[in-house]
Amino acid sequence: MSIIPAQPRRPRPDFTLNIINVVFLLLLFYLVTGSLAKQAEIEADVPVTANLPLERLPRPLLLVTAAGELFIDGQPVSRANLDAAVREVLARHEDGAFLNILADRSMPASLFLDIVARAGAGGAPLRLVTLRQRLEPAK
Amino acid sequence: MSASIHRRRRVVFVLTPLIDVIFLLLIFFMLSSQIAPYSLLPIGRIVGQAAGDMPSAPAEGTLPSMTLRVAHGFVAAGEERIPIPDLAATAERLRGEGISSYVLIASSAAQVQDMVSVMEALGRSEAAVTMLHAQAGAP
Repeated sequence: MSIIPAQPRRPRPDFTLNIINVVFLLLLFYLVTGSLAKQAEIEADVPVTANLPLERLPRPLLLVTAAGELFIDGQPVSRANLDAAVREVLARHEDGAFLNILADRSMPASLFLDIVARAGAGGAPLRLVTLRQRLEPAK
Repeated sequence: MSASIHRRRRVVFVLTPLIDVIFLLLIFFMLSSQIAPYSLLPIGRIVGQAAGDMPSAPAEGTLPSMTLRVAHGFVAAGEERIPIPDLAATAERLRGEGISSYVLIASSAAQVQDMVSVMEALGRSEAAVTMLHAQAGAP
């Protein structure tokens, strides 16, 4: 038997709760700031602007690829049926919903205007999705 | 009576399944969400230009004060060429002279990025923008 008294056992620190806190914060961050996007929407070369307020990727979204293919919320649409498809998708959303157009920045403007005119033929309010980019300061 | 019947079960709070689910959610949102800084640009009126129509004759509303032909990197106002980066300042100056509405015509060289930059520049001076697109059969 030892003369020196045994030291009381120190409770081992448990980091589990701290880790959960951090992970919860990360989860909240991605939930609040992120927008679920489809692969083709991520890959599109979005036109850039500099002075507009920030937004999340909105829905319904009409994706116009550089080749002129059309997708509404991931579903392919032909140019001839675009007006009907736009009416259908806007009917599923609340009143006053905009059709948001995400077009490749390098596509010809005349083709883009033709598609936009077809999409807005039924009087649907339209918005163009752009990527906000900070302007380089003038040297 | 057995002692085990009366023994109260100790409730143990197991965190591991919770952490597993949270981690899975976190990975899902990290991989699938876009946190790109999007901005939305309202698209104004679009008027079809049929064959033989004059470009400066919109269907209804007030007559435009100025017609701009959008090309790649610049706009042409009559004989004058205005680089797109200088357009915001020019529009601000023209606003002081009473011009606050524009008709945009896309040339064959214009791209979507040019249209977006022009719309953003004119929008900063709170100008009304009408875009003209060539319908089938137009020159």
